[in-house]
Amino acid sequence: MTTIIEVTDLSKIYRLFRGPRALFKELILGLPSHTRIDALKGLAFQVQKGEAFGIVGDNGAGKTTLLKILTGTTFPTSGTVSVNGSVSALLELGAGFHPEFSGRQNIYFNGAVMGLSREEIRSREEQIINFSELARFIDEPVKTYSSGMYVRLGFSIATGFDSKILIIDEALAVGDQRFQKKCTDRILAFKRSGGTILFCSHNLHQVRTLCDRALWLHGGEVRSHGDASEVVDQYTHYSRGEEVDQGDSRNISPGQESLCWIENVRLVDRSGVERDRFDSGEDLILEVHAHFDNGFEGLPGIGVSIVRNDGIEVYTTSSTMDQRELTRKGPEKYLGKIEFVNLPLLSGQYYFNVVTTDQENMQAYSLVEKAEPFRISDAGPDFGLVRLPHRWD
Amino acid sequence: MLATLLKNKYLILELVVRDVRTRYVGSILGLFWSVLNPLLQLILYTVVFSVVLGIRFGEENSVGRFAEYLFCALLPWAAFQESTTRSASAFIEHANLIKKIRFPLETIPFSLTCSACFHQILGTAVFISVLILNQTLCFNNLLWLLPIFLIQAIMMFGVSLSISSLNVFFRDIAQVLGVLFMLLFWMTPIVYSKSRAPEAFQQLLNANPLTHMVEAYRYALLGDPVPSSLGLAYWAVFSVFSFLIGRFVLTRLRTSLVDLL
Repeated sequence: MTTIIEVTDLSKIYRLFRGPRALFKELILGLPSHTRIDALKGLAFQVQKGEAFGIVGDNGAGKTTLLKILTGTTFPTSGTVSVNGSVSALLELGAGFHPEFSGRQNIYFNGAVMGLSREEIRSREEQIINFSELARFIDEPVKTYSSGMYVRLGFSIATGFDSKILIIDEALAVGDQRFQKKCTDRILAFKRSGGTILFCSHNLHQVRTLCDRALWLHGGEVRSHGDASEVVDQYTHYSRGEEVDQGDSRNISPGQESLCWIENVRLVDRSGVERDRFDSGEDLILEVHAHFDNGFEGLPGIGVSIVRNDGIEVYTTSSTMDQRELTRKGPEKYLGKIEFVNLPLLSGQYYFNVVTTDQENMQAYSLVEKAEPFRISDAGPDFGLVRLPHRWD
Repeated sequence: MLATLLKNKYLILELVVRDVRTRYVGSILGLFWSVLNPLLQLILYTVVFSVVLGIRFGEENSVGRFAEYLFCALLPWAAFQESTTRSASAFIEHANLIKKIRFPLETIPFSLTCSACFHQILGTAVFISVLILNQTLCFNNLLWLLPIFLIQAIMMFGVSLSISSLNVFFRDIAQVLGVLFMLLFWMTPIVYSKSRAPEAFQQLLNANPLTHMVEAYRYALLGDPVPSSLGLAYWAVFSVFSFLIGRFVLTRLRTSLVDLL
């Protein structure tokens, strides 16, 4: 494996000036008058040859700045970037066109910007035009093109020269479905032929499918870095909502006059070991210890909900709904133990809401929110909330 | 910088051709405007200064001679003014490209210089033909035109480099240029000759490198007396320095320029 892109301690600071006077004050009079924006903070990573490397993150996390630095359109404030090979960029498709030039001239123009000689460009010209399906319009100025034509030519040019590295920013929505398919095929072929891809997208499914490794940028910093599906999972958990951990568990404690409350909740596996990480399809067992006063009128019951951290309620049931009784553990002490066998949840972060209830299931007497948060990992190619039993005929 | 320009020679050629073409695209007379424009300007100046105000160059007294003197200076002047003023907005006009791809920045002021030169060459060719017809062309000095033109081109490129880069930071420069060129026009012996200017004013004229440019052109084309070698050297040094400064300015500002566009 050879390292094709190496980024060391890369930082980018944008200085925002409020108007030309601020700029003048700072540059000529030496009075600092800018707002500082740390677009990238101390990034470090490597991309190996032949790898597809994903970049995910919220808007404003620094993804575009990073790609711009890698393509050489803007420059780092500090740190180093070394890119060993020719780079083709699909940043904004067609953004690198000179609007007055014809399609053909833009092929030469873009080729020249990529550092190719006229002969090299000429040898590719025909093929690029064919791929773009724009032969009829290729000698018209691109300013007369429709946006679809723009994008088609842009894609054809960016992938038409044998670059070592292809940088793609959210650009797979190219033209109609048929052309889009052509583009996807081309990107996959590029990858198969040993090309290195840097892929930045909000389409996490594409990142997961295409990329080997990924980087999650958050606020200009690397939040996570590693195997693509792991990074995508982490980012998905994050973007579904705030991280939930043990400390977030809230016992909506009963008032003085309360007759019942939850004393303890434990999440264990089949062998009785407390865990907060499971694989999809494992057995999960939740033990709920509750206090029910002797004066409690009705059948003591425990209700359990599984909730994903973006608030989606996956499933709710209770002992009384299932017409089961709690185990009596002592005077006024009860244990409810619910087993989820082969829990088919897909990867994500989840937690339990636990309530004490009675046979009417109308009232939650007391509630523990966000109890026992846990994570499900899943390496399968399908995605969603749960793996539904299904078959293909 | 020169290596970058050489590497992008086709891009530059394309930019220049495009620039020359777009200027006249859709007009009936096309490229002919490139000749017609200075010609009309020439007629206007001649009428105002020579016929109405009765200004004359040197000992000569004919209106035609005045026109030749004027045109000889006006051609390089117009090219210089054009390349400089246009370079002010050049990077801003190309902001879309500069921000999106790794654009070789120097090609923009260079191609502006080239297209200004192109118009000048065209005008000069017409001018020389007229001089031949009038039998006033000085064949002996004609070869001097080449080094003079080269010095002028280097100066234009250098100034364009600085102006185009600096104007991204201080866009007032484009505004200042308008006034500055008006001032400079009168501080250069274009519509008058240096020898006719008052003694004190001549010192001022000598300080203006463009004075020596104009005199050099008049020497090469019209057979004016040889300009002072000190003045010529001054202009040549100014030209080279413009280039060096321009190159320094662009190199220094290149990295921060993109973020301000």
